[in-house]
Amino acid sequence: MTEKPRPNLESIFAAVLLATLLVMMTVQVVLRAGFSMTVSWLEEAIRIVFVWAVYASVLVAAVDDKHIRVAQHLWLLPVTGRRVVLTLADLGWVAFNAVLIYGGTVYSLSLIDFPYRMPTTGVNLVWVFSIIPIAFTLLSIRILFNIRRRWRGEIDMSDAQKEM
Amino acid sequence: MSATLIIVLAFVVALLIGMPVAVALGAASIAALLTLGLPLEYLAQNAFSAIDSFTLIAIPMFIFAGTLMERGGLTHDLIALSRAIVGDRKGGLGTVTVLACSLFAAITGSGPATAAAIGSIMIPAMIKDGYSRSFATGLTASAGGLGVVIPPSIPMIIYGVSAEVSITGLFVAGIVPGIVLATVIFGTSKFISYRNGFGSARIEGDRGRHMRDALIRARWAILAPVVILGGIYSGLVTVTEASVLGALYALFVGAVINRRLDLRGFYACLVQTAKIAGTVLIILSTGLVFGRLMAMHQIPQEVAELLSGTITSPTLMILLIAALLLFIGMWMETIAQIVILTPLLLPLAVDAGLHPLQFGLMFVIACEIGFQTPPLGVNLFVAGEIGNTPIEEVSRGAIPFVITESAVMLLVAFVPPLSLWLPSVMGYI
Repeated sequence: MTEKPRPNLESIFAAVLLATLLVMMTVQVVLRAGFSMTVSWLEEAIRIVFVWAVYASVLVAAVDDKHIRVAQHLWLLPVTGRRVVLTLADLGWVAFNAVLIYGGTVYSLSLIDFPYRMPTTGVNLVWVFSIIPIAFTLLSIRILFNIRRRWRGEIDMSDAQKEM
Repeated sequence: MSATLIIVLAFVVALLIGMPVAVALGAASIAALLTLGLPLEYLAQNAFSAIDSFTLIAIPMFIFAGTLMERGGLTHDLIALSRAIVGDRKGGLGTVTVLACSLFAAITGSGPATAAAIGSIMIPAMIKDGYSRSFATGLTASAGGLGVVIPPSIPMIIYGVSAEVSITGLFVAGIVPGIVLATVIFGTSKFISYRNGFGSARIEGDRGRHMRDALIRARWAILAPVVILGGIYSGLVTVTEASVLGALYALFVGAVINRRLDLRGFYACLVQTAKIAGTVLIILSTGLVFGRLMAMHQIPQEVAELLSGTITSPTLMILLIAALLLFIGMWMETIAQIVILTPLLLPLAVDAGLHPLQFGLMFVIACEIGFQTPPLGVNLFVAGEIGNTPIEEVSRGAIPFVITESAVMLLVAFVPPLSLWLPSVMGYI
């Protein structure tokens, strides 16, 4: 289950965020279960870190093209046919991301103009929300890289349907 | 062309050309937004708000706990213990596999993770001892699925979020059906072993001492479910908090007690967690909004009217729901299946007299079976890869288990106390 990770920025980013989340959640659990204390700014901070950690994880899963697809039927095609179809699928994916990047940017800009502040910390939601356009932009870059890697035979296409 | 048709087409075409499941759901959502005349920003906002949930933190944390246990050597201890208890009987290694999967399932919430963790040791062991490849891999694919039925369970968390029912309630409701399912898999395995004369590994020396030694060595692994589930059931901690305790416990045992986990291993587990959690949670980020858009299009109502108009008998309706769950489970990935089908089928199930917790259990068992039914059964791939066995052969080995497990699913559907007695005693209903 655990394999040696390839060094890449996404993995470091996600690992740091997940470790931070673990530490913050630990403090939260100890305070609540041990001392019946809830620190509302901590809860807000956890929300921020969690959403960022999730989207960082989405990027990590994309590094080796691990996102779940239903792709066995594509094995009926010859290798080139398979590559062509998967390239089309990935370009469609980038187009989908473009919709999210557009929508995310529009909403982020509106949050800058009309700030929505989190109740306790007073942090503008834009700092949390902006991970959406950022993550989907980075994701698109990774997908485009992967299209090239697939044509060079560097991605094992049989792996695409796995889920854990 | 009706709006519903456009949405369905967008989804199917996107899936067929091999887009990731999450993106296919997103494409269908875009189609739904356009036909409703809603702004596309809606999608981005929901991709955020779907994830912005305290409950969901449990998902990466349970995954993290699982990867840490694996690397910290707790899987080995669990298998050694199972072996000492049941390993020397007829078909003993099959029983060891079922028992070890059940124990691991009480720590982790994932079916494929259970199949991979236990299978990587047990499949080679079974093949070496003369069990057929198809039995060894088929059994592991089936027993691994216990990971999602025996709490904690990631599909239960996702069902709880989709159906808006208590996740703790689901975790309580899952205990009895989980044990029944494990027993049925054990019985099936035993039956096949007898018929084929699959042998048993002799254990030299005093059996009682072996068991004691194995139990002492596995004490930390055995305590893990007590920490995780005990905390939840006693009401001391929430499911999310329990997942954090599970990760901390695994970290403590792996690093301090067993001394197998160093900083490098810790980092590898974090990255592994990110990789798995990323593939699960991206489906939620587009899937939940898809469910909401279907509701706006009144698609669940349409389906309900269509079906309840033609089928009036609750028994027939429950059978139909069961058949649908099994059939769709053959083709669709678990998380997407729960996110899409819960809003569609839950109203029908409730109309037919099922309690939402009971339907949830039925659904999770269907997912369990879906892991081992071709063409898309993740556990088949996991077991096949470990056993170096073609998917067809693994699937053949899994067929008897699919049949007996489907019977358990129907049992849960038609015998409410199986899933509802414990939650009602403990005050969740």
